[in-house]
Amino acid sequence: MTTCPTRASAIPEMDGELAYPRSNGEPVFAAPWQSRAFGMVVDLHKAGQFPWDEFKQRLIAEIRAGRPADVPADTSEYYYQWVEAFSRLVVETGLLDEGEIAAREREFQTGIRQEVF
Amino acid sequence: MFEPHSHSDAHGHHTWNEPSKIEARVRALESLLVEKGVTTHDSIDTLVAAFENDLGPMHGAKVVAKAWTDPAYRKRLEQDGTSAIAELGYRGLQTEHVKALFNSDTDHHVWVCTLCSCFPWTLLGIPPVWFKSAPYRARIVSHPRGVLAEFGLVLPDGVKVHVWDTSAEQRYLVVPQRPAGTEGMSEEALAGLVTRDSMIGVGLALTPAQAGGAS
Repeated sequence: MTTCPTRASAIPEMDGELAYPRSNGEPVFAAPWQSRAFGMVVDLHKAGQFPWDEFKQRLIAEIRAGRPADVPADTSEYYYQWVEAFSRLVVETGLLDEGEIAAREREFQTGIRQEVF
Repeated sequence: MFEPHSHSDAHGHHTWNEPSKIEARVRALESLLVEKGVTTHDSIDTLVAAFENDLGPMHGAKVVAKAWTDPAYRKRLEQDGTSAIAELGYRGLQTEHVKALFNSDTDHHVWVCTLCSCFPWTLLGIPPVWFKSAPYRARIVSHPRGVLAEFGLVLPDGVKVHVWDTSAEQRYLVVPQRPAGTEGMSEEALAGLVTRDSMIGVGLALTPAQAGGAS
């Protein structure tokens, strides 16, 4: 249903089977965080953690709310909204706790934790 | 904001660059979800790779090429796009209800998701950046001919332009017109003429000459 992903490689160039016209080959994910965020949402959905609609409705709500002042007005805006919608979803469905997300986020920001793995 | 953060508050680590807030958030989510056993890094890797490699416009192109060459299939596609597409094995995420829109000498179809970015991933892969841009979403509705012209598609005045807005329940796939001079081509070769843009409606199928050279 809805929404879309992110990726820093070009939209898949299918083995020359399709000769893409201009405007293909542009980055769809502008940064790795976008493809990870995309992958997590789809992965959890496919694993049965939530119906797609649960995510979609939150994404729509984020998009309707518009761009927060601290989010750049470029193509990454969409993925900020994606991450925000996903963050709410995992908290509201009880998968994660808001406090632990914030704490872990600080660990990455300060460098206490540097690897995702 | 995606450039490495090189400012001096990086605490003197040699290779560590302070992540932006959004990067830190995404890393936090992934590491917590993996720790709790909800997912794995490999699973996410595999999924992202699948979207890159296994899903994509070549699937939609096969649907179109079959519709060009098989009149009975075309009829089924007209009557029930979802079922006809499922015949080829394409179903699932984002492709549940698909209506095929057939371009002709008199009618041109183009679709958009004005609300967010609904896109039939299975058939067309990951949506292009412009598809998600606010300008495309707004202007294709208000000024379709102008937007199409910006894509290099100038339609004759006699052609009626139809703009379709996707929803969670309804997806679209444009079946572009079969290019002239393709009478003897195989279905597989024809699929090579069908671009992602032509299935959104912002382009036409390639001619054999365009597909053969750098178009």
